[in-house]
Amino acid sequence: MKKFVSVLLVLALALSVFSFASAETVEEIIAQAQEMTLEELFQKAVEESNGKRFDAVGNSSRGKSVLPLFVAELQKIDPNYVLDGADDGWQQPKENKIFDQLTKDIEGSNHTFAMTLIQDGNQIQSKMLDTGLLLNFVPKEWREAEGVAKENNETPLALQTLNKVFMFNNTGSKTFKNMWDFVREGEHPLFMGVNSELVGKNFLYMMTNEKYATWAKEAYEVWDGKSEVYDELIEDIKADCEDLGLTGENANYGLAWVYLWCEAYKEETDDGPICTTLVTKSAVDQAGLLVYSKLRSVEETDESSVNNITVAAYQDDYVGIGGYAYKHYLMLTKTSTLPWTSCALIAYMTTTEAGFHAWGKDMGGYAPVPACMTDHSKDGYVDGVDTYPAKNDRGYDWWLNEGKLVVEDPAYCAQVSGMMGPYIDGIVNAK
Amino acid sequence: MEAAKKQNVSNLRRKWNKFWTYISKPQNAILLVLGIILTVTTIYPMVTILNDTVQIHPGSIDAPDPNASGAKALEKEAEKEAAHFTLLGNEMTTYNWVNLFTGTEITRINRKRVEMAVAATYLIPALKNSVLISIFACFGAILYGGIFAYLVTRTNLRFKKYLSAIFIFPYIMPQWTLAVMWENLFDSAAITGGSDGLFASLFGINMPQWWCEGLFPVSLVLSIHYAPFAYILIGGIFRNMDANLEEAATILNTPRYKTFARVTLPLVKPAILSTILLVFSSAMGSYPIPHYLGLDTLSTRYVQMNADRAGQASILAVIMMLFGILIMIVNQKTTSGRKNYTTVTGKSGQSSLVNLRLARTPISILFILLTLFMGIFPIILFAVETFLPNPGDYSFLKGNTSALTTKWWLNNENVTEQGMYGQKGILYNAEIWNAFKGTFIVAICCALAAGIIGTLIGYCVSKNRRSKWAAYVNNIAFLPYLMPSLAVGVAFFILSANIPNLYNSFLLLILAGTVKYIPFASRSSLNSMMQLSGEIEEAAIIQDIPWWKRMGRIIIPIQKTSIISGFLLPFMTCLRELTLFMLLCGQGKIITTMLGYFDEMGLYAFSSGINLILIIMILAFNALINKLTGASIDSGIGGDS
Amino acid sequence: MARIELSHVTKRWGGFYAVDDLDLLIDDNAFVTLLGPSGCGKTTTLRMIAGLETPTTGRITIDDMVVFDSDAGINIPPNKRRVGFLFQNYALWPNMTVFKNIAFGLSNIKEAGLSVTADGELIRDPKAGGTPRKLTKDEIKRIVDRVSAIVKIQPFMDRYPGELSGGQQQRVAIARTLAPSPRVLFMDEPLSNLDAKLRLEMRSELQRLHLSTGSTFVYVTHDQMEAMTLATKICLISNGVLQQYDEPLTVYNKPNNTFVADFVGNPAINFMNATGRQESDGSFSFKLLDKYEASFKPSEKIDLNDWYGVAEKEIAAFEAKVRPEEKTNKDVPFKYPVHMVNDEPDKEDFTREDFVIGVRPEFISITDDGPIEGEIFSAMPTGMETTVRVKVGNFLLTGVVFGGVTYKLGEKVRLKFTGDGTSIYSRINGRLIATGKLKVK
Repeated sequence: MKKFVSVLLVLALALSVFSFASAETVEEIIAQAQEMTLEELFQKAVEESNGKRFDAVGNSSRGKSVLPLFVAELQKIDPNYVLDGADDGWQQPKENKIFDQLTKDIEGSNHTFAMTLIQDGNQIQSKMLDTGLLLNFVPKEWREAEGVAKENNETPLALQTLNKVFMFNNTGSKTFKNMWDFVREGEHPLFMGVNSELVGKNFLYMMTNEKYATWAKEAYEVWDGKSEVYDELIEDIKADCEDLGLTGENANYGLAWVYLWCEAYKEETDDGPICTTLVTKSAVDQAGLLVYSKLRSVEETDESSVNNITVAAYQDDYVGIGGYAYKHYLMLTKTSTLPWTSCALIAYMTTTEAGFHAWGKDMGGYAPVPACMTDHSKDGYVDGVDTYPAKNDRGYDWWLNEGKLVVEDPAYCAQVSGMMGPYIDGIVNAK
Repeated sequence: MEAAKKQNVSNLRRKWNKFWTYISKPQNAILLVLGIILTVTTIYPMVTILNDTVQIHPGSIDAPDPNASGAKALEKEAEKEAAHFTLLGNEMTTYNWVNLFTGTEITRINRKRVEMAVAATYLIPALKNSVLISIFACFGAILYGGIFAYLVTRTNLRFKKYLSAIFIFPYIMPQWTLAVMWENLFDSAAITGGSDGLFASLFGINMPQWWCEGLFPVSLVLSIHYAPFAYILIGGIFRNMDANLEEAATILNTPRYKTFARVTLPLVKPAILSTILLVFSSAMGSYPIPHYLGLDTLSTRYVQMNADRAGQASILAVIMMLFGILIMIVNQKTTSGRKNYTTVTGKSGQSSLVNLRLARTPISILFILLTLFMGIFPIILFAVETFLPNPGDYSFLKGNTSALTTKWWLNNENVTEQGMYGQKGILYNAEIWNAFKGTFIVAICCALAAGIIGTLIGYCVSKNRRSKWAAYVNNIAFLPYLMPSLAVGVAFFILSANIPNLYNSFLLLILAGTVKYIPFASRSSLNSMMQLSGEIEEAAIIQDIPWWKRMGRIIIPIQKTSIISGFLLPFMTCLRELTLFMLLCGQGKIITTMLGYFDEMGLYAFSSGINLILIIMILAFNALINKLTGASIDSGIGGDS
Repeated sequence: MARIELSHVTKRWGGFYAVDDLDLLIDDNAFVTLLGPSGCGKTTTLRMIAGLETPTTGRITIDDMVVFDSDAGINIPPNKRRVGFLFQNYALWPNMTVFKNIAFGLSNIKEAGLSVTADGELIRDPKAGGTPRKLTKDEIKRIVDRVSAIVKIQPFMDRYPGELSGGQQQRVAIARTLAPSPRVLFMDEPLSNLDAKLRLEMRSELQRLHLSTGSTFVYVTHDQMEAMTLATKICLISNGVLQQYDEPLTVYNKPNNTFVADFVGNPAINFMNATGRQESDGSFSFKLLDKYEASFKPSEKIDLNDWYGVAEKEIAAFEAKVRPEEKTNKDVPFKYPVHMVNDEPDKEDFTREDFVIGVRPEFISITDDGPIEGEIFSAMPTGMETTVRVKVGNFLLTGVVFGGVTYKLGEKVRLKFTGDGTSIYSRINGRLIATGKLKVK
């Protein structure tokens, strides 16, 4: 009996060693993949995942639409190629659960996920990169692409930058010509809850960064609602800046705006409802801060129309910040179930127009590789007529400069979030 | 010496014989095994929550922050350092506890800088609200459900058959559908921001803020949801009450109200108590309703805090657990005192019904309207919602019927958006059907597991009434039922972190569901086993009929109805359970998380459509099983009828 | 056919002794009734022998097989004791037909040495050896037919228990108990749910059954008439303690103490307090009923002081018994009823000169030459006999007069005591001193 058991153990040991020895680690695969072309990666993908199950998790709902196109590409190489999960393998968890899901999947012994599309640089840094749970892959063609914007988009690899912009319903008489108009007395702009959509909280953190706080100051000085009450607040809040460790000279303007915004905003569960609300005739004088691309999904009826909305920054006389930008990153899990396929998919999405199309087909998403992007500056045109001006996307460059977008900087967020987090929670809670 | 040794040996042998005799009775063996298993499945997750509160979570406030700068931030770092300790080689911290209860944060309220206690932001309002809504929900449910129970069983109310069937609809529907319906009805651009709800757009009435959001609607919706519960429990007692008791009082010329207060009400007390215990913890643990109606409760706060205050979120879960234990202790105290059978004497004949006289028709009509509004109207609303072009877009009501569409059901292509955010229509949506499949798997497995274990517990405990171990097993099985769903969910969520490949698996969901719902089956089984004379089984024991044959040929056939009810209830509840499962799996796993996802995304057509399908399914099931076996949800909850 | 022996069997819950140190020997083929008032422990005793309850201490053997022994830790479960049990509420399985109810247990038997006679009697002889086998369907049917014929329920074989009357259900229960040929049959007040007429009928059925099956019957009842009429031996229990274990007539004529004397007999025995002493010739002279003097001649020679000596020793031995926990349901001396018109307080301390005299109603004769003066207090004629209550001073004596004699209330009569069945008891311990002839002067 004993002999039998020990023989079994030895066999088992040998088998496991063997299996370890024969499998490449994900790091090794990535290292190889980074030197391969898209075609080569497709080839590898077909070999690896034909008939297998693909699961991924991401913050964007549009991942689903990429998969069928990807499968079609692979079928050019092998007509019999099938990928299980092309319909339902893409999950989009809400309420910040994506971090838990990834952690549990990677640290557990049963791995489901191949890769992820994830946002919120702050949490990514501390929970995923520092701990080594997610691995970065930069395709060869991406590095070599013409005009690629490498800064802030390489490590980790960004699929796109998205913007969330100030919009308001224009069927009434109210105007919003200054960023401070959104926080004036009586306004309740619609906004996703800061603790469920954390990139929103990052935006508030960034407002205290000197660059953006200065824009806030400049806007304040020409604001027609400027008054002693606000002056007092701005002065008073300097003490808070000190407490919170905010060192910028104009940080108090940024923080004051953040304070007023937190007091004022009305929490919604998602940008979708915000959009559907603002486009209706009855949402008179309502405003909101939501992802620009949602405008793509409005169906024109008597009640709802894209023309009921104005994008604040598009107004010629608008002063101040037009919104904020955040990124979607693509990474493989350390324990990726289909590493070659993931690399191929990432390369497909980030370097080809077809691959990026799921995001590129609408306004509000900007790829680092210019070749991927579609021009959306005339999206509002129907049969040559400018019918829906709000949909005409003026492009990434415009948004960064004229649009005055606040761009997420993970390092800065990490620096201030420790103190500012509870500060913001306190304001929101007391509402 | 020899004699002493012999004594020891024979003592040992005696103990062994005793143990063996004990074990050879099946009910004892089962009780032993179940007791151990349940202790593990109930206590271990609870312990892991406690453990989590002292763990260090990377990326959260209890982890050291290398980027900290500024005086206050460094102060915090010092506190974290002080709270750090190691135990058995594990890094732990008391920071979460210390900070939550004694920490302060800088913030600004009403334009004034405030040093606010951490508890005042993250704990106190949530705790207060949770307790308040639970109390109000109990009160409301008992009031509404109890009055209805009285009217149906004791008066000559009209349309009884229809009313009692429809009354339980709000309980069958997933909790938050009423909340969403409330929003759709009463929200208005002027008051709550966003677009107009039905009332505002059709009648121009803007309901005030307190009506639309916060404590009032949450309590109200919870009351309506749990009123059927109270109705079934209290109505059950009314129905089985011996008419003689009240008649004796009547003969003595006691005024009606006095009879009610001094005779009827005390008899109904146990049912009221049961209702309170069950509704209290269910209300406290509810996540979706306060989430949609904008109220800060322990459960909503937990979810929010999970992002960067995970350890403190677990403390909230611990608090919820403590409530559950408290409720269990109260339950113990009250049920040990009262009589444990409301045995059907069969003598409750046609007691004279209270004549409502002139009030009869108005009251009947009132209840018809109420039940229509709360039971049927939501279903109609859901159906309508699935044909609206944009979520919440009621423009067709203004006459333009072309503003209705079937895209939400039938759309089958991927590329042009048509406002569906990349989703296919319900009938073609693979995700939705997979989620349905997932829900069915979980529900069936839960029902089987919970039903079998619960029935066995009921059987074993009824046979061992005086045994302390039996009482313990009964209580430990009951505990998860009394704990807020979210706390149980959290317990298993943290458990899944410690046990590999459990997260997002059906096994985890089935485990959590079974542990939570065993009491449905054990209660129903215990109640009916208690009413079964022990002699029935003894007659078979004497004839040396083995245990499995006794169960299969005698006990189970006799108890068929209550056993099936014991299976039915977990099944139905699983189908529409969200709070318990939402932390444990991704959103495509089961239909309720899918539903929640669509609601969050504002794709109300999908969520309404799924809701509709769910409700119809549950109703169909209930009717089918009722026809086939006589069991149904109401007899399951009520336990005896 | 089996002999049952109980030795030092006790069942207690904490300090409550439901059965207190019971020793009992039930002979093979006996019909023993366990008799006593409600809560005396008789059902508990029955269930302990059957195995449905576990004694706290003691030893029980059935047919020389030890089925329970607290010292050795032996406790054979009830299903292995091969006994039959008839429940008070019949415990028929409502989801099975009558046939199934009876056959269910049979289909389960797997033993060596099984055989079924031509007319359907099941013979079980496990010691005969051979391979264990089950009964065939045909055999089962024969057995069922036989037992259902015995209790006359053949017309109901396909009915469900819910469709039968109480008496019919009872008989089905009996048949079910008889079918597997148990060696002992236990019955727990099986007739108490039946109406009076049916009860009488079933009593004679049971007696016949006892004869025909040859099994040992142990029968629990609180109805002393039943016990008297059915049993070969009565076991009278009170407060968990055995009071008397004798043939019925012995219990009737020579009750061990006042409790037994009072419990058995309908109408109940008359008790009279008396003072007196034993004379040198062995007879006793008494003063009773306030003003009457009487002389009592015992049937057997007895010396009062010797008797007290023995009695006190036995009582001391009983009280000296070592108990693990103090008995909370204390054994108190029986308060025998002395019927009076106006209740008078009783005295507290008793000496050896205090006695209780018991005279059964049938030994009170209403004759013109009786020494006792009395007045008719009540008269209840049944047609066959008349039960009279006679007021003697402040006392009420009950008598039974045969024949259709009637009396007028208030009628003045004279009484005398007849026969030699009068019993005298000690007022100190309630025990029987002697029986004999009582003559009032």
